[in-house]
Amino acid sequence: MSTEFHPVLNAAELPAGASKAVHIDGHDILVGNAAGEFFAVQNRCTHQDSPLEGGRIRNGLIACPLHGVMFDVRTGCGRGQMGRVPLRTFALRVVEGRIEVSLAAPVAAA
Amino acid sequence: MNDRISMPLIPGDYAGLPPGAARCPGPSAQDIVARDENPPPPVLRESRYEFLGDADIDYRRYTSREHYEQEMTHVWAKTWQWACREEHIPQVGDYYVYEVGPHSVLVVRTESGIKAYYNSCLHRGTKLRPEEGMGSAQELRCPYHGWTWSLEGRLKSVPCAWDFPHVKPEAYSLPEVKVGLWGGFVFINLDENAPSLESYLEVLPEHFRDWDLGQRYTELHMGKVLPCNWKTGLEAFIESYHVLETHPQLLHGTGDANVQYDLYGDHVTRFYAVGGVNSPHLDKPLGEQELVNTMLIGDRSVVSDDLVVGEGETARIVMARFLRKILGEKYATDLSGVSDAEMIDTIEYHLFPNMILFPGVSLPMVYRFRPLGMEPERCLFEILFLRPVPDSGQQPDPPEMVLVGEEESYSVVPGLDPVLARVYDQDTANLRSQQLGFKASKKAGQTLGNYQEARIRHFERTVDRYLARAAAAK
Repeated sequence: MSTEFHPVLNAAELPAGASKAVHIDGHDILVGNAAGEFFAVQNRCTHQDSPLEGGRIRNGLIACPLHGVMFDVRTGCGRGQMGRVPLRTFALRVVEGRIEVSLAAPVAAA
Repeated sequence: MNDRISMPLIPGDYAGLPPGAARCPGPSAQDIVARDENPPPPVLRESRYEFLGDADIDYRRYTSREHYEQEMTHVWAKTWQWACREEHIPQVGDYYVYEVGPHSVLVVRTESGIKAYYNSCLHRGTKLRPEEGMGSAQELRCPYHGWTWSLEGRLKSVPCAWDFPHVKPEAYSLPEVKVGLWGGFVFINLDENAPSLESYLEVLPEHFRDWDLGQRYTELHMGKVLPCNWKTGLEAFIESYHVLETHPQLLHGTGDANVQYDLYGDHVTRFYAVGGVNSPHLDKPLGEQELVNTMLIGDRSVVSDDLVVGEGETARIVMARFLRKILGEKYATDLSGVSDAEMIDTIEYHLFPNMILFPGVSLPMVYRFRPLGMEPERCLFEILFLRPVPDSGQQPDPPEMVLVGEEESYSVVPGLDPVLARVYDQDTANLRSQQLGFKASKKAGQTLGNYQEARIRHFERTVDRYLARAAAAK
């Protein structure tokens, strides 16, 4: 899988709590800001396929706007019986104020 | 402070006093706080006890399914209970699912304030939100067939509406549950005819006038499933008599047997445990400096080496002064007006049925005991730490509950002082065997101390009063 990073947004466009959908090679990806920490996950809830864009982000969890299923934005893990299937997560970095996302999985935090 | 005090070990008639009149020998809590540098507020200078009888408390109250079902209908569906903190649902669309026994309530922040609904779809009953705890949405949409309500509870859309000509939207608003707010807590009551929260709280609003828990935020939230009835669990936390045997390490620095117990109306009781003194039970009491070194303060990470008792000072005065400064800095809030007692003592209120709250600053807990499902012998015990909101008003997001496994130590909880973790481990370790012992017993019930276990008797009496009211209404 490509590990190439694609610039997607200016970090300044994404204040804490905000999220925005972007497309890379046909993948619908949600880039968001969880209390200052940027993340990239698939923009499709694994419960019933609704986009996650605009879902409230709090405590490192994003809530799906449709039924409220919550996912950890770092690991992709869902909460509860509607969140059994994790979200795919993507590697992200910030280079000179630009958010860049790759289709590779993020390197696990130490 | 206490010299060795002789205490009889064989019970029986005690110095000819009427039942309930005897107290632990040595100084009382009131004697001790009378010597403080910054004296406690008037509500801590009063005591209120009455003898409520000395008959045994039947074990079936804790084990029988029939009693449990009665409580579900006549206690849990009739009383005010706190469902969440306001900071759990700060913005419109935020919600919190509160569950107790079979009941499930969806508490929602709407444009027009906080509302609560029965957490059940009006189509075919599915829970609108299946999980306990915090969440967020702009509308309430059932995950099964997609019936959708606004946050205000009005029916917004029904897929294939052509198939439901008999569904009149005005008759399909989500049924509401009563909501009340106090001290930053959101209370609910499933009884639409319930008296107001304000009257239910009895003396609490007056006692907490200067302890505004609305100006606190949730720093820590942990839970543990206990293999016992919810009352078994709760009753382990409303008496200090067990400290001597269960927490011997706390005897230095806790006036355990001279705790003051206060009984107010049907819903409120209190204990007041003075810190920074020796237990009356100690053979070799510590000096004032040694007392400072052993105090339980809830957060050992803030302790430094400059805690020195000066000439003419007591451990209480030094510790209170120290904590006022250190905790004031840590939480960026001014504690200069807080009395010694409020800084270091364990002041514990019980609000019927299941809320225990501590207005103190260094041990700022709230406990909650909830029956789980329809199981009389399981409950969830939750502990929250409520810290002062910084003067800047900025506060972190409320944490998710950390669940501690039954066989696990509380020391797994990030941020919990290991000294306190050990205390909670000791407390919860007794409960399985007590619950099993209820059923192994030849004797039919518990025997209670007249004074130190009076809150248990008072609590069980209130349960009985709710059940009797229901029986009388039939």
